[in-house]
Amino acid sequence: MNVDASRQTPFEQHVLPEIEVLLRVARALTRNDADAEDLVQDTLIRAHNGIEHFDGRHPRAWLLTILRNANINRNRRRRPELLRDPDLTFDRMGRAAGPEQTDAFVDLELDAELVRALDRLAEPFRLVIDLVDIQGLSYAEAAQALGIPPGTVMSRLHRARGRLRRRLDQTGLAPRSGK
Amino acid sequence: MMTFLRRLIPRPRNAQGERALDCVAVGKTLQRYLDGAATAETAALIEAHLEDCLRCGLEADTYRRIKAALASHRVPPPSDSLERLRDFGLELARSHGTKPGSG
Repeated sequence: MNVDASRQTPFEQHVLPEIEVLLRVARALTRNDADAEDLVQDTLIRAHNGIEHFDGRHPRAWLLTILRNANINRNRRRRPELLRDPDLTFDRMGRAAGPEQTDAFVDLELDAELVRALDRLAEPFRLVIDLVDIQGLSYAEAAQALGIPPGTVMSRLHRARGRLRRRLDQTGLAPRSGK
Repeated sequence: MMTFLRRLIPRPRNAQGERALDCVAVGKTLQRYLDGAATAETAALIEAHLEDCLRCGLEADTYRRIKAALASHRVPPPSDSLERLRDFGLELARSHGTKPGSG
């Protein structure tokens, strides 16, 4: 696809290069490939409709905001309980218990334990780990995708990592901190 | 090994005589530092502390291992899905006022 940049439309120039990041984020948000694809498609349509009002600065941030809003609308239609404040939901849930996974090939112990510990995190905390540590988004980009301040991304991230770390500590996979 | 041994010998202040960070201060800023989000000045102070402090040094190593393990799960999204979305995006880009698949 060798298209002269000067002949590209703003949509081609700003939106098309971000499709992969959008799909990564959508997969983290939905945890379902088909839903993620639908969500990105939704996002592309909204971006296309709004491209005339976009000033051309920070396209990723703009698109992540669109994706987040599209996702909220989808959840509102499908799962209204997800609209609660995630921090309150977390506090209410305490330690969210996920299904115990018994992988037959648990050789990479730390990695396997991490995956298990990640699944046990409450959704808001799993999400920040997924977006920042796995998908490689910056604090600011994750904040755009989640619609929360960067400071909240940081605090959730740090709490989530602390939980993962303690989990590894309990299983003897992390060195004792000497406390 | 040398790093490990250095951490066993506490040094209250760093070589430049700068005000060294204590464990509590490092604990508060360690994650930002590991994410590359600390200022250069703070990063230098944290590095000096991590060299000196066994406990904080091990803590940082553990978080580095966790971050590395998590990053190893970064896989490309399904190529067929990506291809369909790129085609859809191109179709949108070429359309003027009509949406692909809408008619």
